[in-house]
Amino acid sequence: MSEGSLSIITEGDPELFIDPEVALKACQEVLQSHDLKQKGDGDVPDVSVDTGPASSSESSTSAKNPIPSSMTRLHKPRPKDVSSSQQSSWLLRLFESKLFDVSMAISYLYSSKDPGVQAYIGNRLFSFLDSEVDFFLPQLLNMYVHMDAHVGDAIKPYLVYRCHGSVPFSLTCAWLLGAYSSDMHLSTQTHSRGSKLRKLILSDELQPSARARGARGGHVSGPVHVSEPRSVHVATRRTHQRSKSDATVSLSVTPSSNLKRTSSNPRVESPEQPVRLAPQREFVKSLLGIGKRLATLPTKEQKTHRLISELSLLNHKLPARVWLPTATFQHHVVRVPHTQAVVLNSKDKAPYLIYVEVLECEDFESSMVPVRIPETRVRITRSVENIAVAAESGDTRTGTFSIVPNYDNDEDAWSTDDLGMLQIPEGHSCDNISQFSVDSITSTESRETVYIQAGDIRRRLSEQLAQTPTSFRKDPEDPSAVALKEPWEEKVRRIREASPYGHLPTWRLLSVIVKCGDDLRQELLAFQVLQVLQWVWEQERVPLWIRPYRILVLSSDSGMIEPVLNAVSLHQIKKQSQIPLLDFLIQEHGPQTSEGFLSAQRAFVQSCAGYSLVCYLLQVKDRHNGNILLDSEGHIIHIDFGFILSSSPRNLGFETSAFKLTTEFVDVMGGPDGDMFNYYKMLMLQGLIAARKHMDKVLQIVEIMQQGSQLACFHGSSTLRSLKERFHMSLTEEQLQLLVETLVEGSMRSLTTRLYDGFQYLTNGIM
Amino acid sequence: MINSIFEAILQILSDTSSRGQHGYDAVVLLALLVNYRKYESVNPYIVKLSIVDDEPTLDGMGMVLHQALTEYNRQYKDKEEENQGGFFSTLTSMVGSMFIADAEEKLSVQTNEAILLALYEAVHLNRNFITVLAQSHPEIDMAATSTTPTSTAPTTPLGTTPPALDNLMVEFIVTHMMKDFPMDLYLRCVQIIHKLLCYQKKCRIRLHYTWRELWSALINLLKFLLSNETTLLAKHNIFQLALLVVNLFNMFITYGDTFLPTSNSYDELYYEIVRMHQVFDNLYCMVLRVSTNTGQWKEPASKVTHALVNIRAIINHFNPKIESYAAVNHISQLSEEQVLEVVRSNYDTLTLKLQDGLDQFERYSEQPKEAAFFKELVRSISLNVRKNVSLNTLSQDVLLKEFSTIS
Repeated sequence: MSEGSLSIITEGDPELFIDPEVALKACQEVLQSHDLKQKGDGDVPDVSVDTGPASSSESSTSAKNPIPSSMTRLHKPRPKDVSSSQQSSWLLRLFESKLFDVSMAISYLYSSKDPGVQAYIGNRLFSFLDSEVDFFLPQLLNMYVHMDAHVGDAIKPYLVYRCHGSVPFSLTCAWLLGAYSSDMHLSTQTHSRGSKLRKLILSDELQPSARARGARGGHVSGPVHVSEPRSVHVATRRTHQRSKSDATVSLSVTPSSNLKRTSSNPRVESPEQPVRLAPQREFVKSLLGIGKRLATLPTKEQKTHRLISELSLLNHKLPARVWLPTATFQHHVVRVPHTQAVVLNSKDKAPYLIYVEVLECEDFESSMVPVRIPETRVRITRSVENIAVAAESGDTRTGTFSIVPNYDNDEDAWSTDDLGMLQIPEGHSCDNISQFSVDSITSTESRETVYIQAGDIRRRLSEQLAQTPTSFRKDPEDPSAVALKEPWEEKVRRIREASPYGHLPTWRLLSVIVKCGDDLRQELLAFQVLQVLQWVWEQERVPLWIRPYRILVLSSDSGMIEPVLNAVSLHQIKKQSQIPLLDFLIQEHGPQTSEGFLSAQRAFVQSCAGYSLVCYLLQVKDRHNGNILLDSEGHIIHIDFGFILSSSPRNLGFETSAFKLTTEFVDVMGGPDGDMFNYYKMLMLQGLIAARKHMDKVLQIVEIMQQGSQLACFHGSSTLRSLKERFHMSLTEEQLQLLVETLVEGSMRSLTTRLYDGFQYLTNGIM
Repeated sequence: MINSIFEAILQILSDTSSRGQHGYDAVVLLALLVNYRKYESVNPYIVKLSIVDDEPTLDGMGMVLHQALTEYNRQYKDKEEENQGGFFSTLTSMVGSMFIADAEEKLSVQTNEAILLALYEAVHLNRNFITVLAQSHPEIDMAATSTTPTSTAPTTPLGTTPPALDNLMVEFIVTHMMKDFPMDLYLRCVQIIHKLLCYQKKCRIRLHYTWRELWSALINLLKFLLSNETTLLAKHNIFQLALLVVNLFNMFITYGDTFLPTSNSYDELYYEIVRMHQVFDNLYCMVLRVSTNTGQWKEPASKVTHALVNIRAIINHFNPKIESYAAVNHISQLSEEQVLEVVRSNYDTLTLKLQDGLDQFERYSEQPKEAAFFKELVRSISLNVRKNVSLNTLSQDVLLKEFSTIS
């Protein structure tokens, strides 16, 4: 705990500070008193509970509030309570144990029917790290929207508290709430709990308390201690559990000394602060607006052109207090290098990929928004008067032309004096009477004639064109292929050089795919499952490789996706290189015995094993080559989880195999009898055993999201049961091994995979 | 000139509301002020305009120009639509066009000279303006340039889209071959293409542009010059233009390896030259004839003969090869693919001459060549403005009030 921030915060009321430990203890007291009450089987009057937790509270007013009011109010003694008291103490021991993590908390929150337990877990949420809880935010919010009032009440204080503290959290909540409420009937939707909370958040009433802001003021000067403002609220909140109005009152009552401190902070935007959420909402709105307008244009070229001009307009409003929600660090967006954006392949919608330049900052909300650096980069302003002088001096900037070849980037290279500098000075003084008059061109009689071979020119041309073998050629029908093939590092360097912000040490490049008209809730579910599987395999030390990519759900038909870097789709590879996958890997990484190829092959096998299991467990369908990427290290990465669990495209019933395993894949792995192929099967077995061990984590994620959902992946009644069955809890390891063999065999022989590729080729032109 | 209102003009342009009200007038006024006695004395407005780097202001200026030009385009389009329709009018215009379009403007919409001058000065004087213009509204540049064939088109490409500029040039070349030949514009147009090629060569930029369209446009231009030799020669030095065109081909032939997008495009260049060899042959005959006579055209014509050396070498090299290929394979009419095949397999026996100075171009300078044009233009604009400005619409006190807030 830093002294600087402490002194600032405690100044107002030293009593306010209560450790998390004390808060935790208070939580337990709630539960114990609840236990007590159950033992008493309703004999104890409800009021008696009130005395318990108030002992450690900071103010006498809050102590008088009836605490777990809803709990006592709603709890009706039932016969089974006798046995449940036993259960509860066991539960308490579990909840207190070190093993109790967010995943378990979510699980008990969902499955426990006991309001007391739910209330306890609601409190316990405060003691977990923000980032840990954030992962389960979709689950929390879906429970909030679709489950009964007890769960909602238990979660709400936590949500409200976090919204107070963080703009990104507020907006993520609002977006998810909107998306998860969308499946409700319209009449109930507007009055539902989810919609109400969403409105509350968007009304921006959930301002950070002055105290928290005071703490933020401290951030600017001194070191940060994140948990600081948190503990304040654990204490305050604990006694105000159910009452929203109480919470807001306590937050709005602020010592004036703190307010002054806040206002002394030079960067607080305005006293009324209505703009807390607005910039980001505008930013997202304009990105989605672009997507919608693009969808109306008929050709890819038109779309690309429109996209670039729209983004250039967007640039005028940057930098601003906006961020890219798919990023993992705090930052402000400063510029969109608009000429780099590309429209992605899609039949009727227009998803697009943009690159975004950001400056990393300490705290998104309190750090200064970077100052705008004008695009024009007035390096040396030259007027007509001094152009001549500059040209004469043989400006050294001629050197910058070596980087020009990306002609779509350096627009200002077209300006007058740059063109002028193309003249090789040769000691000419460049006055207005031209030295380069064309008339002199052919007056070469006096000179010696130089001869050249036409064949040489032609050869040079083809050689130079061949010098860039790893980049794809430009195809107006598929503009993304070139953009995605360029190695990320190179792209970053290139964009950084061209950016007016590039010289700043905190400059970073991010990219994001904006999707309009697509429901990304399934993608988000898939991301969560993949992430859990990745953690599980990491924890169990099995080297299966998968790459979960972040998803941001903005509504039930729009969102953003984190692009996978340095990867192109198998379809694009096939179309561009026209060679089998194995040959492509050899071309990229070296001959089959080389170090480069072998490590690429290992990466390929490990990722194949990972994704084979993912595809099998989640029943991922629509596996054509456009949906499978190959990265620069040799990993395959599956994208597009639009058809998982119970849904399949157009319900054709194609793709009956467990996962996609074409002969091309097997060839890369060294054929069906090779060592690498055996390694592949072994990895799958290990991966399945590990996943089985942690099955509950996966099931829980899916099960909670099924609540109230109309998503196609939950269609039918057997989704969860079938998922559970695919973990084969009852099989021995030998039997599992046999199962893996069968699955692999079946997928290899599968005609339907091949059929499906043919089908995709016919309907979508995907090879 | 002593009391500068430059800052005031800029302020009008940078503010959205005042721009809406007075933007047009402010821009026109600025254009006129910049031109005030600029050839005789040091004009402070030129200096000031050239160093403006405030983005909102430059943006505002671009916006005003954009609006004015869009309006002009709209008027032209309306007029055009008006003129269409009616069987009779179509018939008459057809008959009319049989007698070759004379100078008479078929569709006469008064060109907005003032706004074009303003655009010119902004682009010419202020390098930041170009960037602002090209970045914020990629559509502006096209709108602006496509309406300006009758003015002196600014010599720097405005936009981020060189292929679009190439297209524009090709379009101009194809559409303006008329009796009253706009020689100076053709020169300018070919010079722009030349400048672009120089840039591409220097920076190794490979535009994905179908150069074939340009080649055939240029060849047709040569054809036009040849068939109208006598009428044109009475007024213009057609050899200067012919030389520029031939040298464009020389650029492609000698430096094609540095900027052509595919290796096939180099083959196609040869194919096009060989296919249209008649035109080059005739041109050569013509310039040879003129250069052997004594007269004012002797010198410029002989330059063209020299410039044609490589093109003639190509024609003389490949034509026999193609004929013998046809004879050996007993084909009367070779397909394009077959000709390309012959071209590809016979490069190595062809020797070309390296010509000097192909990639050097004349820099644009307003003085002294264009001075007369601008003098005339400014005179006409100021007359127009005087005629149209009516202070009666504004009562004096309103006017005074506004002046006080302009600061």
